[in-house]
Formats: sequence, C-alpha cells, structure tokens
Amino acid sequence: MENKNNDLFTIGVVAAIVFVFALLDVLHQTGLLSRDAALSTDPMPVYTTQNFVSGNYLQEYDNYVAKHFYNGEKWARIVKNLELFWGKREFDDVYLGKEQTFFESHDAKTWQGTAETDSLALLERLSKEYQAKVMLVPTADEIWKERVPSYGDVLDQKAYLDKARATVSEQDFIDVYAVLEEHKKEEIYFRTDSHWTAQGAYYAYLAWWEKSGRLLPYFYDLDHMETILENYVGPLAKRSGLEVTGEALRVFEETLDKGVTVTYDGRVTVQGYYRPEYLDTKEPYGYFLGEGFGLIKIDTGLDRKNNLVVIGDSYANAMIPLIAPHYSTVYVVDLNCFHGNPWTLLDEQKASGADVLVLQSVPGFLDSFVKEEDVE
Amino acid sequence: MEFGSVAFILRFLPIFFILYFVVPGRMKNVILLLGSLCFYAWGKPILVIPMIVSAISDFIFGLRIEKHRGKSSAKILLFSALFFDMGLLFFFGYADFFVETANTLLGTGVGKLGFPAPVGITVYTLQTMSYVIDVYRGNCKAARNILEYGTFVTMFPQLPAGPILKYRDMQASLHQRKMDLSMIATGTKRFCVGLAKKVLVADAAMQLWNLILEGKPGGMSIATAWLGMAAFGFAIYFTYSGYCDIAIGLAGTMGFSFPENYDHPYSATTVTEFLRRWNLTLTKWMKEYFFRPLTDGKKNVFLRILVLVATWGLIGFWYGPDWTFVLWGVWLVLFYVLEKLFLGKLISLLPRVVGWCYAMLVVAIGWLLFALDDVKDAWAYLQAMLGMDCSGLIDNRFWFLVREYLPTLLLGTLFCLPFIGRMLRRVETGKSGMAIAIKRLLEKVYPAVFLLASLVYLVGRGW
Repeated sequence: MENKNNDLFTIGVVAAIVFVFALLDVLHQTGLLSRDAALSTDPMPVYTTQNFVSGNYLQEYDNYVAKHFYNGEKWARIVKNLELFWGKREFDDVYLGKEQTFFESHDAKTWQGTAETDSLALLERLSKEYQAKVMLVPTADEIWKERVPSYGDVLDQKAYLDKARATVSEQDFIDVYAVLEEHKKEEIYFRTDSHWTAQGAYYAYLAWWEKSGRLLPYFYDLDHMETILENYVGPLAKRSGLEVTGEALRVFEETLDKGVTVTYDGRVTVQGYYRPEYLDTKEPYGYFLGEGFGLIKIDTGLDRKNNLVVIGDSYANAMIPLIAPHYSTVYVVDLNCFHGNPWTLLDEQKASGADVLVLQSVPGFLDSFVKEEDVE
Repeated sequence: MEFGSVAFILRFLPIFFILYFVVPGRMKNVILLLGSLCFYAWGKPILVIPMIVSAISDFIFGLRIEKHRGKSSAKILLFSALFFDMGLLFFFGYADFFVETANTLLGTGVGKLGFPAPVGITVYTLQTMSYVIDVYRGNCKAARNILEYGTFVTMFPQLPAGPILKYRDMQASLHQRKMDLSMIATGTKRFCVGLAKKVLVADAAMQLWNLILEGKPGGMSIATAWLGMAAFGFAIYFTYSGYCDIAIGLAGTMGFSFPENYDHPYSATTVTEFLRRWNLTLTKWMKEYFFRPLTDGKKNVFLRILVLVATWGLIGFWYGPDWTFVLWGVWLVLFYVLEKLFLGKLISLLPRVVGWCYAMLVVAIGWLLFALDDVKDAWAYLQAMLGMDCSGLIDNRFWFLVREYLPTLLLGTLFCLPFIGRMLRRVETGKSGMAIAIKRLLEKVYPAVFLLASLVYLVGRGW
C-alpha cells in the first residue's frame, strides 16, 4: 500500500509540474494570462505549407516557445542567481566582480602578434609624421584589478602602455595610467558599462592639459556635476542578465552649453555634445556623442587658433566635451567606422596647424586601431 | 525534436500522454505511431519518408523471408532487405561522407547531396536489419500487424540515441502490454533523471568544453587541457546516457521495458571493461549480427582480430560519418586486443586505481578523436594534454573555469561513478532508521526536484 501511495505521489507531482508549466505557457502565449509586449513585437511563426515542409516552421515554433515562456525573464534571473550563488562569475563574456562591477573578459591571446605590431606601427607613424599626442586609456579591469573575480582573464594593459610609450616621444605620450591609478577610489569608470565616466575623463583631460603647454585648463566643477540619470544600467550589466543596482550618469554642467554644433558623418547635425535619445537604447553610453559614427565634426563656435583631430574610439567621446573648448573645430575619427581616407583629413588639418590626438582605450587600440595598409 | 527542449516537454509530452492514456488498449499503438511520426517530423517533415519506407519494406521482407525460410530464396530476400536498408542508411546518412572521401582520394570534384542526416536513421536501420535477420534465422516470427511493426520501428523514445531494440524482445509488449502503477512511476523517475543528466550536466559540460576549445591548444595549460577533456567526457556520456534514461523512462510509462545501455563506463579499470559498459545495445548488436557470423567456427586469430577491429570501426562509424569516429573505435579496440594478449594480466597485478587511470587515459585520448574535426587537431590537443605544447602546468584560466563549473564537475563525477547506487544499497541493508527515512524521503522528492530544476534551466536559458 505504501509503495502504491509513493508511486501515485511521484506520478502525480511530476505530471502536475509538467501540466502546470505547460498550461501557464499556453495561456501566456495566447494572451489569456497576461499581455506581454514582446508577444506583439515578436509574433508566433506563421504556418505555410512551404515553411512546414522545409522544417523551418517547427524550428521557429521551437525557438518561439523557448523564448516566450511565461515570465521568462524571471526564470532566467533565477537561473543566473543560482549560478551566482554557487560561484559563477562569468556571464556571456562579462565578469561580475566585487562591488557589483562588471568587466569585459579580455583574452590577451587574441591580440598577440600582428594586431599589436600593426597598432604600434600606426601609432609611430601618427606620432612621427603628425606629432600626435597619444593618450591610451587603461580600462577598468586594469585600474580596478582588485575588483576583478579571482583568476579572471585580464589583459596586462600596463605592458602595452609601456610599449606604446617607447614607440612615441616622451613629450607626446600622456600618462593616463598614473592619473587614473591616483583616483582609483573615485567613480572614474562605470560599474555597469565598459567605459569611463565623465569624472575619469576629467582627470585624463588634466593630464592632457599638462602636456599641451597651455596656460590654464578650463574649469569644470567636480562638486556640482549634473546628474542626467540616477539609475544608469550599462550594456555589460544588461548582457550579464543579472539584477543590478543602477548608478548615476553625470556630466559636467559646463559642458551642457548648447552653442556647440555637432555633425555626424556629414549627415546629421545636432546642438550640444549629448544625445539623450541613446539613454533608452542598448548602447546608453551613446549619450556621449552618439555611437558608431566614423567622423564627428564639432564646431565649438569659439574663435581659437587651431583645430583638433582626434583619432579615437568611444572612450574619446566622454572627454571631447572637456577638451573641445580649446579649439574652433574638433574632428573625431573612429577608424573602426570611418569609410573615408583619414590621411587626407589629417594632411589637410595638419597643413592648417591642427593638433592631433590619439585617444583610445587600450583594448580599443589593440582591437580596432586597424592595420596601416587598411587606412592607406 | 530534441528531448531537452521546451517544446518537447511542455507541448509534445502532455498532449501525447493525455491521448495515450485516454484511448483504449489497441488504440495506444496508433497514438504511439502517430506521436512518433510527429516527433520525428519535427526536424524536417520530409525525412519521415525514408523511415516509413524502411518500415514498410522490412515488414514485407519479413513476411516473405518467413514464407521462404529454409529455401535459398530466403537468403536472396534477406540480402535484398539488408541491401535496401543499408542503401537507405548510406544514402541519407553517409553519402556526402563517401563523396568527400572519393573527392579527396581521386582529386575529383563531385558535388555533395547536402541531405541533412535524418535523426535516428542509424537506430531504426539497425533495428529493421536485426528484425529481418532474426526472422531469417527463425529467432522470431515475422510481424503480422503493420501497425505493431510500424510502432516498433518508429517508436520515438529510442530514436535520438538508442537503446537499439530488437523486435523479438518487443514483440509481446507491442501486441499487448501490462501497464501498472509501479512501472509508470519507475519510468517517470527515470525520465526525470535522464532530463537532469542532459540539461543540468551534459549541456553545461559541453559549454565548458567549447569555452576551453576557444583557446588554441598551444596556448592552454596542461591542467586546462585535461579539464577540457573531462568536460567533453562528461558531455558525451551524460548526453547519451541521459537520452537513454529518457527513452527507458518514457517507454516504462507506456508499458514497455527497454534494455539498459550504459553501465557506469567511467568506473572501468580496463578498456575491455569500458567497452562492456558503453552503449551496450549497439555493441551487442554488432557482436550478434556482424562479429559472430564472420568469426564463428574460425580459429584463425588474425582473422578474428581483423573482424574485431572492423566491428569497432563500424561502431565508431555509427556515431557519425567521419574517419575520426572510425579511428575512435579502432583506437579503443586496439587496447582491448592488447589487454587480451598481455596487458590485462599486467593490469590485474596493479592496484585498481592504476588500472582506472590507464583506462581513463586511453578513453580520454579516444574522446579527442570523437570531439575534434580531424586527427591533426586531436594531436595538437593531445600535445597540450601531455605538456608537449602548452603554456605551463596550470594557469588562472584553469582555476577560473573550475570555479565557474564546479557544480557541473561535481555532479558529473557523482553521477558517472556508481557511488550513489552503492550508498543507497548500504543504507537499505543498514540498521539506521534515520538513514532509511532520509533515503525514502529523497526517493519521493528527487524526481520533482530534477524535473523542476531542468525546466527552470531550460526556460531560463531559452529566454
């Protein structure tokens, strides 16, 4: 009798779990249980005989069922939290470090060899031929090393910086590493994003100013920064799928001046450095001068003695608003997205006395600072 | 359709079982046949045709062979049936492989057919072949009912990965089967165990293996290379044995008794023992229908060894159309032969742990052939494992991955060795009332826990 009860219990519980899950799911996907916006934007696959015969319909249906399960986000979070509980720290190539800081995992092996040599060669040419100032910014996993999960793969950025330093003249190399190290206890990087904050960029700006030979830097009030968003959650945290506390997105009040005209890829012109429309996108850091543009032209409306050409990646975008008032026009070239010939622009601007600045994050320098022949 | 998919567990299974239990006796085969065809058609509906053709042709061949049994015409019919079955198998499963091999050897440029290999074709072809051979030998009566025979060939639980069934063992239950509560409960439990093996261990272990494989062998440490090998070993074992547990479990809930297919192969202390514990129904099939007919009554040792090597080459080939699979089988059977000649005696003199290390080393090297695309890649990986081309003994990556995948590695170790079974038997025979009570409680709750955890994982990952 006891065995019979045990058998009934097993069958009953297992059947109940399967049927409850199945019922919840069917009710949800037919819209009877709840209205999920994702269901209307990603409707159920449409049946056609051709689709069915090819097997695509059933494959799409499989994916649809898996993707739109009732409260899928919560289940996913349960899974992630369980994994977190037993010590997992890498989620979709994103590390969750101490103090809820997210890092991109950087595999140094990816960049060994030609990527490094070619990037250094291009740097050398920019330095020799265009007297470019070089500012390579270490990312958070270097400066906040102690927050990276134990045994996590981190790139030895210091070693790359030393190589870069040896490639260009001492006068042209701006040592941001030392400056950021000095301020490492402050919010110089986003916790949830792979970029630095305006505050981090500010310290780098001061380092640039010291090397620029200018009499005074512009005044930016660290104590009265404007908070744009209290609960900024960057793409790294989103990609990890973990529940996180957001952080503040701040900019310097002095950079909110609307007198600046910014033209993106020669097509879109907006006033001001900041793009609030990016805050609700997958790339909220695009708030700083947008995202994915090859050439950004900034007319500051100020009468200055020369222009500036920045060869930079997205890291440059947080610093441009600080540095731009020193120039009449600033050109920001992202070699990764720029489809024209950067040398023509550099030659033109150099002839009119423009300054050149290479402003890249170290991984960006190794990753997207493309081979010389590619930009010939 | 995959066992480890939300659509299978939350759509197919509930509908199938409602219909299966609602309809009366004989109609159950109809539901099972239709359900199996649906399951099979899920990947690419058109590929259901070779299976139906195979079932119908062998049903007819079976009847004809039985009618001509004892005459020379029976042999012709048998060979025709086998030729037809193998033709289907080679055309749909292996044609592109042979085209590619011919192109490589002859320098020709014959285009591939590009057919996606139908799921389960290697399983049901062996089943239909064993059926006609058994009918020819008089080991079983030819099927009279196309519905029963069709159900046997197409039955969905065993299609993805076995076990390989024989009609003679299933004939009675296909005709009439007793379904009691205990059998359904046992089947339900087994299903939950299989699902957990696949979803909670095999998938995570495969993820770990893929992560390690992202780095080039020369750039990884010895420890990381071994960790990767262990991960692949877990992934392959828990995928196959998980699928077989699901098959055995589902069959049990329908009143069928499927044979066991895996018997803790990683507890083997010799390669011979490993081969006896790995994919039992496939090795038994090859022994009965390939090895024995070619060696019975023949005393020539070299011939027997040659056939043995060919048998294991074919077993490897069963897993996939690539020479690396053939090499996997040949690699293992070479050690089997060596053990028969002298190595077995030597190992028996050593502590068991030495035997286990030796067997697992051979198996691990074999898995390289299974896991990697070609022998060159396997050799490069082996060099990393042996420290011939690596980045040191141990690195941060190793410790990081161990921490990341600790539960998978622990669960894998726990479930692939026969610890749990032994412990439970000890508890049952012991006198501790508390231990017995805990065991009973665990027995009650583990199916639900395994199922729930697997579902949460499946749904969470899908999202």
